[in-house]
Formats: sequence, structure tokens, C-alpha cells
Amino acid sequence: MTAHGFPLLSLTILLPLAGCAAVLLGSPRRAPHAALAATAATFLLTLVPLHASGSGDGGFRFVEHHPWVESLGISYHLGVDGLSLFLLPLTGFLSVMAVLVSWNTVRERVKGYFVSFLVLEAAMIGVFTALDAVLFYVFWEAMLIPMFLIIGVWGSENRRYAAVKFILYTVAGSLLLLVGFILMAFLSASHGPGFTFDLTRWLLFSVPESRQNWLFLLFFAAFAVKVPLVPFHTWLPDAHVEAPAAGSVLLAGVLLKMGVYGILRFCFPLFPSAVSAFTPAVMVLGVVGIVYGALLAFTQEDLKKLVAYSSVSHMGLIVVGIFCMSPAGLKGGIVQMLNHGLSTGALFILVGAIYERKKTRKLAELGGIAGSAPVFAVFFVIAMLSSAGIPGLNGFVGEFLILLAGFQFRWWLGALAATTLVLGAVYLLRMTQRVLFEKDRSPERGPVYDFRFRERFVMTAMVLPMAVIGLFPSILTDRLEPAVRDLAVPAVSRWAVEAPPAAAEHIQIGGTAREHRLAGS
Amino acid sequence: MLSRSLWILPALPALGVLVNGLLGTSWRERRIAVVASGSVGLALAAAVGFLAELLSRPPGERRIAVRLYRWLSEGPLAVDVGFLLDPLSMAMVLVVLFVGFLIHIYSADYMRGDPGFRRYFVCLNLFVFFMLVLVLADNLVVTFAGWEGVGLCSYLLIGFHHERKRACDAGRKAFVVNRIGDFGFLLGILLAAGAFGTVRYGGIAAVLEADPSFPTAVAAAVALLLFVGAVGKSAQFPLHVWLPDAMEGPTPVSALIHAATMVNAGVYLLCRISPLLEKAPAVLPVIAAVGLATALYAALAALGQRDIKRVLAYSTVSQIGYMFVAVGCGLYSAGMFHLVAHGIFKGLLFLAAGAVIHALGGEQDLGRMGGLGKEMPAVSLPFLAGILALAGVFPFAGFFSKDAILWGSLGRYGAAFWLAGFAGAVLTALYSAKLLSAFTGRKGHPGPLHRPGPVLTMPLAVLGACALLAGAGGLPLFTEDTLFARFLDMPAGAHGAGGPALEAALAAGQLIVIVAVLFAATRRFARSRKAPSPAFLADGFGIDRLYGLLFVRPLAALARFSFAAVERRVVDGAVNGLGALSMALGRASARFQSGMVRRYAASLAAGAFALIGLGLYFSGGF
Repeated sequence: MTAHGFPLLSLTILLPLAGCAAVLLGSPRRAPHAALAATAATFLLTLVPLHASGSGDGGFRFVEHHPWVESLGISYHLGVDGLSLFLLPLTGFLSVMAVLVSWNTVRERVKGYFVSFLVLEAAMIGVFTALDAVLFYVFWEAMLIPMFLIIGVWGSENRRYAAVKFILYTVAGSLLLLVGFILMAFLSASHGPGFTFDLTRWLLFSVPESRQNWLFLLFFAAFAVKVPLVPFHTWLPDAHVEAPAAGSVLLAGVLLKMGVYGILRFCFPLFPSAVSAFTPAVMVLGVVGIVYGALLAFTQEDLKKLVAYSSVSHMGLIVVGIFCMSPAGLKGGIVQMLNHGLSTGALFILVGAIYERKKTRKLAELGGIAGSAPVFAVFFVIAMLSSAGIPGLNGFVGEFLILLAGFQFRWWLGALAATTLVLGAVYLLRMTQRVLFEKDRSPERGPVYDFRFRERFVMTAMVLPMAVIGLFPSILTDRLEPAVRDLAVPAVSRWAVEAPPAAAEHIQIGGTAREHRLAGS
Repeated sequence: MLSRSLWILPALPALGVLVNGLLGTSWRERRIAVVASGSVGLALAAAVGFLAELLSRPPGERRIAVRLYRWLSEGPLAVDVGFLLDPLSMAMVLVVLFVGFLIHIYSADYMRGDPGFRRYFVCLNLFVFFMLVLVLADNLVVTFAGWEGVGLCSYLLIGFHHERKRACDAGRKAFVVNRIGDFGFLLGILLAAGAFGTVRYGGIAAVLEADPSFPTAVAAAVALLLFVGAVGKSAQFPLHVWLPDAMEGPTPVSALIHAATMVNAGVYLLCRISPLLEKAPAVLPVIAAVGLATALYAALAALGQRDIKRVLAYSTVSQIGYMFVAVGCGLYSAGMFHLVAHGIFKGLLFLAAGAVIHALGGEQDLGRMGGLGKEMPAVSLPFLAGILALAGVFPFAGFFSKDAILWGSLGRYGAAFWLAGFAGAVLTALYSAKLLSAFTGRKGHPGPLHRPGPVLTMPLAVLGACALLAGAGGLPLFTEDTLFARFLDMPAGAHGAGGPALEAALAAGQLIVIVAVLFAATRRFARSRKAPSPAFLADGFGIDRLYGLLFVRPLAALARFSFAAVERRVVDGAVNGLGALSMALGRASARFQSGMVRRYAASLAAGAFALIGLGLYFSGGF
């Protein structure tokens, strides 16, 4: 039973797996080509829902629903809505980039490397499209294995330590998630439509308030580790440092989005009262994450760790945005997820390029790259500015919406979150100066030669969407509107806006009749 | 329809960026310079066309508004990319493009042979683009975009010689300090968006006009937050520290960005939000006080400098202080007039200083200059015009603009305020004399001079003439209704206490004092060229060190502490503590065998417990 008669999403999941077969059957020399073909085709498929999304009814599209284990209420249920609409192309896009980045940098076990990436892509797309909890869980766990291998086999010196740390953190979290899923199934049997793992049927009944808090915590623990929310973040810097460049790109670009996605997909609609009960606590962790991540980023001597801690800071901002639970905050959070994928992905690609040339990521051994590799420097500065949230590039759009929401939620919360403006500049400019400017601090390691065609192509592809989103954000935000409207809590929570009544009144006046009258003047 | 194509103004320099940036990789310098200067020149021609169009309309209707597209809409808030050309932005556009065009030409010679020639012009064009966006924006968000954009260009150009650590540090400092101001600016935008439901200047003004009961406190809060942004960008106390260091950039950059255009953006912004200031007049004394304090402080600091560019930098800070005083008196047109005049004469002074530095092979120390007047008349005559305008000598532009500000401050804040302002004017004459002494007296440099060519001196001559002629905007003398004010057509502030007779008498008195000081001090400085100045003046009263002590070092220490102690010890320490517990559990379950497993499981549990605890606390228990 498919809504459009064509199993688009299944095909999108299967295509990378078909790519695996092609990689395995071909010669190692052809492996990158096969992987590129598979990821590129998948990327094109992930773009299809964007075109079909004109209707904007907020419901799921491209739905595929087949019974799987009927006795346990498990089904094969896929679908796309506004929430996953842009995460799919992001996944498809960054997967192509990951293949291009690894084009001739992987020398051993080439086939295995590309197979891991393709399996990872299939699982990531599965996570973003699954509408059945068990199916979601299968994909969720399936992501871990290739990522574990990517870090553990093709990583740098300390790779096994990082890989184990990564997998233990996430497995521990996801075990809680599994418990939560099972409890939800029982709850739906006793309070709702019967024993089922189908998310869309879970949405049909309201979870009793007495159970919401504990269920929320079970779900949230798994997602908070993935985000990562302080203090669950310590696996991230290690995993990034040891992962190969392409692994870092997907880790930061897509895997970190799973946490926020899970919160939005499960916690928000299922446990609304628990969400508002825990909002202050999560907000505290989010703001702490913003400041703490930025401070730590400032002290790092390893470029990858620096970017990893900047991710902690950025993800804190995203969490603050979505927990405002206003349309602006949710949109900002989702837009910022994409932005973070682009800007941090770009930074990891650049760091990878440095490592490839210099065999070091230590700030103390870099410098002067702007002189020897000007094209590289331009891309580096653009990616840095995107991360710093300069208007005109994508980062500002998300920051603006999130801070707008934060400011209206609690003005001081918005003000605290806005410190990211200053703190971000502090650590990003320090990084830029140490990497690009002054003198080369390790001339014995040879000069950094500039980007050639492949790398220019990759970076141009990364930078163009930054500018497009920055200049025309409505392309994104208008399409997010329906999904966000369903998620936003219309001022029911007791933490809702407590703006001075006078100001609140003026929002109304200023926004409507008066503004229209003024438009003519 | 000229009015519909307002976008052409920023589009032309943007085109210059693209052409030089993407196509110019192997071009010769000449072609790059022609493209860059040409794009600004064409924009200037277009701007003159727009000026004619504005002037052809009756005074009340001189505004061209263009809405390009909707950038973002969020609930009741809609942010458009829209431009607005009214007399206020027209004045700024003309300063930016006129001075900008001359500086582009000047730079073509000044930067000749530099390996970063193309990068320089790309950044310079990019700056003009962002500056025009800032100025033409019809709402706060687009202004903010231009605002941050010019900050970026400033960063890139201060650190233009990026192999020099000092230049990089200065650029970084400029960006970070500006971002502190921008933090206030952004909060102001967010508050305005909530309180007015719009970020359009016209929309805000209309809300205030239509609703007399609008809470003054909210208007004041928005105005103060935006003022923080203005303080940062315009290098006013206490966020002035970046501007003297910004002199690490090439001298034409200092002339364009750090004297004539970008640093004045704060004044422009305050004029732009004048309806807010009128609604919340309690903010005005704050602005005036900050302006006056900065004017005096920076004038003193300027006296203590030996580096010709640093004297000019502190002088810029001080002169912008006067503009803030004007705004703080509600004298928007006087403030804008001083902005225009200052843009011309300070741009001129910087360019002339650049020619001197060029001629002396990179020498910037005033103590090693002297007697340049006779040797390079094509530089010294315009320089003299600039100095006279700066000191406020009749009939140069500075006389008219400064007199209007001082007179207005007397009417609004009384004699003590006026006296302080006048003291600043005397200090201005003193450091002007110090600058002038480079051209008088005996020869102070040993080697031969590289005489500047016509490409360098032509802009000087043009700007020198303008420093004299621009004063005409201040005619007729001793009235509020000057030519410039009539063009600007902004609400006039408080009028002077006495009549024109008193104003004329005061102006004459000021003029005599200033000329006397200027004359005497120039002779004295020329005699005692090498005399050291007090250390506390030379380092600007040690504000930099104070900030290092108060902010920079504590923040760095906090960051190091966070990493070494919190991240390594507390997060891992809690883990170790719980590790003992989990070891027992681990043995019991015999499931996890490595120490590592225990640690991570424990840290996870610790995090979960902390979260649950927080949740219980906030939700009031289950």
C-alpha cells in the first residue's frame, strides 16, 4: 500500500545497498566510482520529496506501509514529512561529499571502506524515514556498525579507543530507548489503539501524564547522547579526532542530527507535558553547552577537537531553539541542523585536506596557509564565517530564528544564547589566524599546496548552499511551516511567554493592520 | 525609471568583486584596478543621478523605496530585503562613493607591486558593497547584514599583511570587539521585532506615531541596545580599543574604512532610529555623555601618540564623539553634517599621511618628520586644508559643523557641557598642531624622498578643495536652517539658549582661541619634535591593559580551567567516583569486562541521574 504507488523511500534506502553490491563485485580501483554513482543517484532520489511538497498539509508523504511482524504490532512503515524533508537531501548530499573526499585518500581495504559508507547511508536514510519504532530502532542500531568500523579500522592512531567509546555511549543510550519503545507499546495496548510500535498510531492517543516523565527520560537519554548535550558529549571529540575526514563529515553532518530529530519525532508529540516539565532543565543544559563548548573550543590545540567542541556549542543552541517550542524556535533549530551539517562538514573537509598535506592537525604546527594556498584559504574563511553566523550566509538564519524564539521565551535566555555571537568569533578567529595566517610553524613538513579540481568542486558544492540558504532562507522556512505548526505548543505550557502585556499587545498591533497600512506609505 | 533600480548601487561594487575575484586571477594590476575603481565610479555616477531625482521632488517626498524580495517571515514578523533612499541615506551614499572612488584611485598607485593587489581590491569593493547595503537598508536586519559585512571587510583588510602577527591580532581584536557591540545590536533587533512586530524603520516610526501610549521603557531599551552596537562600530568609549590597533592595515584602508565611512555607521544608525530617540528622550543624555567622554579622552590620547596614523586614529575616535554629542542633543543634521565634513577631511588627512609614509619609505614616526611642506607641496597644501578643517578654522568645513554642535550642546545641557566640548576643541587644535609640525620646521628625515605621482596627489587635491567647499552646507551661519539641514529634512533639536548674536560671539571667541593654539603649538611641536609624551597618554590611559586584566585573561583562564579541571577532572572525576560503584556492579554482572566500559557506562548514568534530578527539581516532583 503506497500513497504514490511507487516505493520511493524504499528505493532510496536500497540504492546505497545496491551500490555495496557493485563495490564488492568490482575491483578495488573501481570502488570509488561505484560508490559515487550509488550516492549520487541516492542524492537525486532524496531531492524528489522536495518537489512534491507543494501541498503543505503537514502529514506524511510517500508513505509505504506493509505488515511485518503482525503479532507484535510491528510494521514496515516509511514516510516523509516537513521534519525529515531537508534532512534526507542533507544526508544524500553529504554522502556524495564523503565519497569524493575519500577519493584517493584511502589506500587499504578500499572496498570495505566504501561498503561501510554505503551501509551507513542506507541506515541514516532509514532512520529519517521510519515511522515504526522497531524499524527506527533497527536502522538506528544499524548506523552504529559501519560508523564503528569507519572509526575503528580507517581511523588514526588512537582509533580503537575512540571507536569503543563511541559505541558504548550510544549503545547504552539506545538500550534505554529500546526499553522506552517497549513500554510505549504496552501503554498503547492499555490506553490506546492496541499493542503496536507504529508511531502514527501512538500519536492517536495521549500518554497519561503520570507516565510521561519517565518515558521522556528513557527516550531523551538516547537522543541526548547523540546530540550531544552536555554532559553526555565526551565521546564526540575523541570520535572526531580519530575518524577519517569523511567519517567526521557524516558524523557531524548527519549523525549528530539524529538526536534532535529523535526528540522532535518522538518526545515532542508523544510527551508534551513532560517536555514542558523538563524544558527548564534542558534549556540550562543547552545554554551551558553553548558557553562550555565555546570555551573548550578556545583551548584546543588539535583542529579536529576544536571543531568538535564548536559542534557541542552549536548543538546546544539548536536544543535551546527547539525547546522554545515556538514556530520560530523549531524552524530555527531545523534550519540550524542543516547549517551545522554544511558548515561543520565543510570545516572537517578542510581539516582533512590540511592533514593530508601536513600530516598534522596541531595548531602549533600550522600557519601561513593563506600564502601558499589562497583558494583553500578563501574556502576556509567562508566555512568559518558560516559557522560564525555572519549574515548573508546560512548560519545567521538559524541563529536569528533561534534567538528570536529564545528572546520571546525568556529575554535573558535569548541574551545568554546570543553570547555565541561573541564566543564563536573568539575561537573561530583564533583558529583562522593559527591555520591561515602568520608564518608556517612547521616548514619541515613541506608547504600546503592549493586545492585542485576535485577539492575545488567539493568545496564549491559545500559553499553554494551556504550562500543560497543565507540569502533566500524562505526556500527552507516556508516548507518547514506545516511540520513546525504541528510541533509547536501554542502557549499551553506553564513556561510560556511572560512578556510584559504591553509589549505582547504591540506584537499584535504591529504585525497586522498597521503594518499593512504602512506598506503603502 | 531610475527609482526602481536602486539595487544598482550595491550591485556595481558586488560585480567588481565577482569579476576581479573569479576572472582576475591572472590579470595585470592595471586591469584589476580599472575594474575595481570603475565599478565604484559607475556607482557614484548612478548615485548622482539618484540625487538629481531626489532634488527634483518636493522636500516632503524625497524618498525612493524598493522592496526586492521577502527574506524571511515568521509569524507576524516579515523581513524583506528592501532599500530606502532618502536624504539621510543619500548623504551617506555620496560620502561612501565619493571618498571611496577617490581612495580606489589612490590605492591603484599606493598598492602597486603588492603581491596581494587583487585581494586588496576585491576586499575594498566588497567593503563598498556592504557599506551601501548598510546605508540603504530599510530595516534593521538588512542594516545588520551590511554592518557585519563591513566588519568582516575591516577584519580582512586590517590583517591584509597576514604574515605579520601584529596585523592579524589587530584584525581579530577589531572583529571581536565589534561583535560585542553587535551582540547589543542583535538583541535590539530581537526586542524591536517583539515589541513593534516589524523591523522596518518606517514601520517602527509609524507604530510610535500611531500609538502615543507605547511604553517609553521599551523604546528606550531598543534604542540603548542599538546604541551598544553603534558604540562598537564607531569605536566609542568603552569599545574604542580596536581602532588605534586597526592602523595596522594599509593606509588607504584606514582612510576609507576607519575614518571616512564604516566607523561613522554608528552615528548614521542613531540618526536612522531618531523616532525611537525622540520617543525615549532619556536615552539622549546617555549618548551625549558617552560622546563627550570619548571626545575628550581620545583627544588627550591623540596628543600622546608619535605614530602619525595613531594620532589620526584617536582623532577619529574623538571626532565621532562629537557626532554622538550632536545626536545626543537631538541635532541630527548637525551630527550628519559633521559626519560628512569629517569623512572628507579625515579621509584627506589619512591619504596625505599615506603619501608622506610612502615618500619616507614607511616612516610613521612624527618625531622623524619635519620640513616636508616645502618638499612636497602637492601633499602639504591639501594636508593643511585638512588640518584647518579638523581644528575647525573658518571657512573650512569643520568650523561650521563643530560650531553647530557646541552651540546646540550649550542650549541643551548648559554651560559646563559646552565648556567641556570646547576644551575638546582646544585639544583638537593641539594635536592638529602636532600633525602639522611634520610639515614645518627643519627637515627631520635623513634620506631622499620618493615624490608621489599624480595618481596619489589628485585625490588629495580634490578632497582638499572639498574640505573648504563643504562648509557651504553650513550656510547661512548661526541658524538652525542651514542648507544641509534643509536637504536632510530631519526634526530639529533643542534650540540655543541665546540668539544668533550670542552664537556669533561664542564662535568668534572659539575661533580666536583655536587659531592661536594652533599657531603657537605648531611652532612649539616643531622645535621639540623628539620630546617624549607622558606614558599614560601614549597608551590611551592603559585601557587595553585594564581590559586584559579584567576580561581577556580571566576568560582565557576560565576556558583553560574548564578544560583542565571541569572536562578532565569533574566529568571524568565523577566518572571515577562512580567507577568504584560500577566496578562492583560490573563484577556482579560480569558483562562488561574492561575498565573503559565501566567508566563510560558510569558517566552516562551520572549524566542521566543529573538530568533526572534537574527535571524532578524543576517539575516539582512526580
